[in-house]
Amino acid sequence: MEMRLIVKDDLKRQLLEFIEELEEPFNIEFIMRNCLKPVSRIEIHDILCELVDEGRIVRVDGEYYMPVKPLIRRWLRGKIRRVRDEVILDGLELPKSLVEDVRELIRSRAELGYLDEAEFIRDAIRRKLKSLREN
Amino acid sequence: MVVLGIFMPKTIAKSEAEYVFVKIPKSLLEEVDRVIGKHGYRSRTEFVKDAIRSLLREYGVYRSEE
Repeated sequence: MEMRLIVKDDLKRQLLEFIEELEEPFNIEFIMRNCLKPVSRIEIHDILCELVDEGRIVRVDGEYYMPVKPLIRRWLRGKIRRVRDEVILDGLELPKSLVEDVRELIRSRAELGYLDEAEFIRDAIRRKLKSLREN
Repeated sequence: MVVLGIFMPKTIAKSEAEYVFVKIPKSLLEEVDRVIGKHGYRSRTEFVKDAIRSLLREYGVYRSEE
């Protein structure tokens, strides 16, 4: 029992060291992808909950977390517009490769009229919402 | 007992994160929130990724699912 607590404390310390300077929101999947040794999802989730309770990280936008210092830096830079019970981000984390595909399409097909990837993504969301409403 | 080296070095982790933050109007995200549960999406991100892939396919850009 005592040994288990030590292991958990060490895991928590290492997890905090790993995430403390991450500038972008992260989720449990991101942490799992960066584990060099098998660690259970539940253990990571429990530790993240403890870190939230201790005020070391903040849960943002549902499934994502951010360490407090980078979060405040981002807020000060104006990337976050308001804070209620949770911090609401006015955007999303998306795979870079997918966004690169969008940028490439915009570059190669100027006739489509998209000014940037954000405009394309907004259009994609609106079209998807419309198609779901119609079906 | 000490658990050593559970996580990747930060430099590697950052380069492998390969995610970018894209601004989206909150009103649009709220609309997404209203439909995701009903249509089997687990999160906003999953919905938006699907929406982007659909539009890319419409424009003839094939992309295999990740």
